[in-house]
Amino acid sequence: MPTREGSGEGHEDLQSDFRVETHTTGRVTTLSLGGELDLLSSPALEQELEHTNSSDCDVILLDLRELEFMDSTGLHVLVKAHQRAQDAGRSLVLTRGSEQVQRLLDLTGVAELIRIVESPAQLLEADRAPDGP
Amino acid sequence: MSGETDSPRVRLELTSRPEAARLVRSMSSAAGEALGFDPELLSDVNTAVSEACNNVIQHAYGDEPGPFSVDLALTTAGFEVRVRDHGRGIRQSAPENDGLKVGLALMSAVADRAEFVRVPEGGTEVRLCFRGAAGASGASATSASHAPGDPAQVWCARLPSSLSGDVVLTVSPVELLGPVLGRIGRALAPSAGFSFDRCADVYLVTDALGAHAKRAAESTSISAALGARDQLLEFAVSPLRIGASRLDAATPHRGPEALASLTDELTVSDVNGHETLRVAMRDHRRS
Repeated sequence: MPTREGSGEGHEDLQSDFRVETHTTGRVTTLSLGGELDLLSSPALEQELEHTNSSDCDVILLDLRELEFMDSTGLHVLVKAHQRAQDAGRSLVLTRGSEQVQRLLDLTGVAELIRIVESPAQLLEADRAPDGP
Repeated sequence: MSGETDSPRVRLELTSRPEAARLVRSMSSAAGEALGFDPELLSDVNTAVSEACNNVIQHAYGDEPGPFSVDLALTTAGFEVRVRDHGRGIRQSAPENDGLKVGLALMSAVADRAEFVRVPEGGTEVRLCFRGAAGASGASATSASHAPGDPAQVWCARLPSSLSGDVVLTVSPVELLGPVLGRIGRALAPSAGFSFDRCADVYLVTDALGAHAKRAAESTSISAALGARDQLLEFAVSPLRIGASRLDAATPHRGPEALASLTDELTVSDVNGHETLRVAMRDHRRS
């Protein structure tokens, strides 16, 4: 079984090479993902998202820039997180991932379902603008 | 899949545990890079192969893991992939499973051809073809055939050795052994509880095994078995020419002498007219 290390602010799954680090800036909670999000590592992300559900943030940003690979089980976790965020009156935002990750999002239509920004800075700038989304 | 033996071929036999898809991606990534695939194609191959493996892991054998194999072959028709299990079949296992549907749709979307075949002897075979690889280095001058049977099985059966382990890898040509074995060994090392530093040493051992196999292989194909447990990673490589793996103090920088300095155990056995080289590496830092 995967070995996990962390103190509530992140996981490092040694066996699957998956990493997730969580930090909050203002009303945005960012989960930075790295390595491979697949059948083996998806439960670790789900667990981290559970912690986020109990926080009082308005926006959950999944930073995929360091994510090297994602399969359909990882995609399922993202879609479920999007639905939960909507139900709770929050929004889920993604940063653009690797070519493989982006192709998966495009092929499955998830890229049209969930807002995608180029970087966390772009999200913060857009939200600071008077007529931001 | 073509039955020609001059096509570059890689076969991995393993068990449908959750980490299996990652081991298979390690194999397909290393093979694709060694064969000169462009990154976009390799990315699609990894996506499709992962979904095929996920289906086996999640649905083929119920709650218990079972055996399955992944075969890769490069021909002028393209890069052909077969993922085969001996389980209960896709339709019987989860006909209305949404995750399964997404996985099947993804395979069909990224591959130029995707077939899902119920095997008469039991189980399922997923056949994928990626035509973009047809011009990659090493592509055979033969075209793919769709003859019944399992040419990869026939190819492996021709090898005189019979290895067992957590995973068994067979490659042709022998030059593919080093890079593919290295990536799989590195992916398997955490299962043995190896520290990050010791994981990095795996490449030194697999490079040496690959170099030795190039000099000592009996034919153009070779197999390697890997096992991981309790701070121990074991490799066995066969078939090798009789006498090719004997230690030679005169050339300690090459052959098995280099391996002996990198590993904790090295044994050579002669069986049925060929040689099997076994090495074991431990992570003493965690003992």
